[in-house]
Amino acid sequence: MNPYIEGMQALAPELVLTALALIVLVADLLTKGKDSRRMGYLTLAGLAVVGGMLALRLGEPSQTYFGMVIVDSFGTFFKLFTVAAVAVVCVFILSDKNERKNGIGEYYFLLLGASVGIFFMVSTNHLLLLVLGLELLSLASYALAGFHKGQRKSAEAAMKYVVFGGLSAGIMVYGISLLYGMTGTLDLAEMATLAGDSIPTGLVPQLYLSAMPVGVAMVMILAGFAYKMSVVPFHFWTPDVYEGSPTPVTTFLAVASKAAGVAALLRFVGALFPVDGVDEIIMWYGDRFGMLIAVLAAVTMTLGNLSALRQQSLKRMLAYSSIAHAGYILIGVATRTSEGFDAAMYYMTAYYFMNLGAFGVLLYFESALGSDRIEDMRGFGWKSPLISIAMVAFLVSLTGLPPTIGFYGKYLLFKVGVAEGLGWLVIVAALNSVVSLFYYFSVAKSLFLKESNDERPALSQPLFAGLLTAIGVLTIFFGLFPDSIQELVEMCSLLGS
Amino acid sequence: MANLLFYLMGLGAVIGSLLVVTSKNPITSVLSLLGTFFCLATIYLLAGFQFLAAAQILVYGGAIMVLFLFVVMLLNLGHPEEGSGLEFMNKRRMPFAFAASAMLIVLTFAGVLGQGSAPGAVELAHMATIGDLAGLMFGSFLLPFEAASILLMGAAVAVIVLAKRERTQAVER
Repeated sequence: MNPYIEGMQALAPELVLTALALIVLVADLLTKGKDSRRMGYLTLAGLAVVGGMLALRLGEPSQTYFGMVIVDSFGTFFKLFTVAAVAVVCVFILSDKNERKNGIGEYYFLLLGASVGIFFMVSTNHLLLLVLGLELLSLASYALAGFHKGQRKSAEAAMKYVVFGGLSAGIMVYGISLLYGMTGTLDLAEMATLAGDSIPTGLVPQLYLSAMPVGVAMVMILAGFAYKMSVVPFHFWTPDVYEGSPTPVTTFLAVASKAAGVAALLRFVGALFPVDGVDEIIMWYGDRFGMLIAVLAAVTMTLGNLSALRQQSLKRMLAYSSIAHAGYILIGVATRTSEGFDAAMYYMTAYYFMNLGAFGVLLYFESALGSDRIEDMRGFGWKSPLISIAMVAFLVSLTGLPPTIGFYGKYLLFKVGVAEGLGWLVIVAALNSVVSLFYYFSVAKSLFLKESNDERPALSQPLFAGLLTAIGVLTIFFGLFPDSIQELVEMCSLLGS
Repeated sequence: MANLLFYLMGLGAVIGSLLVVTSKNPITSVLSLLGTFFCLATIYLLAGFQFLAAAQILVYGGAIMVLFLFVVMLLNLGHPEEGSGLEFMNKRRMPFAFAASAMLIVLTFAGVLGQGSAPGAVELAHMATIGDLAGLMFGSFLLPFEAASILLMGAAVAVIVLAKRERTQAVER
């Protein structure tokens, strides 16, 4: 068959998603934005189609198309993750009372465009396509962060995001150009091989010549990933952008955008520095690289948790908490083993449930109270018990206590960390979990253990409350029965078992 | 001769880009940027990329620069007001910015000078023609090319979303 047609078939989910984005954009113009909800339903239907196409592909052997797109289960896992996250974000938009009604087509278009960027990011070993995907995601995110442009905070969020994003992307691309100059290829798989017909290409000969330039390039490239995952010291944008963006957009940034960074970093580390590397020097160098990631992990989780302690606003607190969780996920990356990567993927799944839930509850409070201050929520647990109990489940899971999915995720990460000789990091992470208990439970305390002096009644949003309750039930269900997700993660494992 | 020209143009590009960020007058910035683009185009030509050099002059030096000039002149940005809240060149923060930039430069030099060989810098057998470029663009790099088109469309929509004037909602402060 014609390789291009074959490639088009392999990229069908990406193509459908792009087409969906265009359809929503045009359909909104044609209906003149009369009924903004219709666009939301159209997007959800399209996402269901893409999700179905992806689900059918799980477990297929990995293949490369156009010499740069890898269609494998690992990529499909993160694509499904993105589709599921964007679908929930769409429901958030549909139930958001503050959402503006005009320009809703562009809202969904940008969300879907960002998802296309994520799709490219998670399914390539080619640095050029990685950068293009990252930029597509970033550009759409900048506009989404500033979507409520009448509001000062939203505009500020967009501006800060653009400056930080531009700087980090610049550093990353510069590092990539250095790496290209040294190895003569942008393909990570090619870079990692020992090959070298006449002229020595690849990382190994360069490392033998001199390790310093490779180190400089690696650190610079790491900056780009760190920015997307909001890892210290590239986290400065996170609290302000999360706070200023519309809450559905914050949810997207915290869940889907971060997962894209994690997936791309896993592919990068997995291709260049797996623990059983092709050559002695790669393994020696990989140890150093893994140690760098481990140190970043320790700093990130400590700084995120300590900053979260002081927050009055639930939205800002969740922003710092998402920084801390990036640190936990890095434990799995730092081990550079198949088990570590699986644990990171499992933790991402846990992160999906608990953060979508927590941000959903935040959105609910914002609609009901017009405020995201933890103090203003006191006594609210008795007014809307279902959502508040779900919130407690999310908080327990975020802390990492049983019987929730967050506990099992942390257990896996800690287990693999100890097994791979990162015991000190696991101790830091465990201490951090204790710290996080304080601020997560201040929210629960505020909800249930304090008297309310607010006369306003609870909002009645049966569909939204149902969704949040369902996510809450799943958070506990998968904590009690983790096997199904474990099996899924193992099937989609990057390094194979 | 070619080496001398390369260093001259490299120096020109560095000075030009320094002027872009340091000059107070936006028109000077725009014109320095034009100079930088010209130096870069010459470097491309020295490396054997005819088409890239021509495109650099035509697209960047021509079209985009004229656009920038028009925007600067139409918006009358000639004299920035004091205390407009947009003073990026804050005296207190200058040392930090300077330290960060210096670190980046040191890292760059360490990276470039410590490098033994550069397989990425392939000697071209002949001047690269449009045909060579098209072969790559629609051959092995077809997918990034198409991805870039999606990227540009997304960027266009993003810019319109941010720049469009609201008709129905009043701007709240």
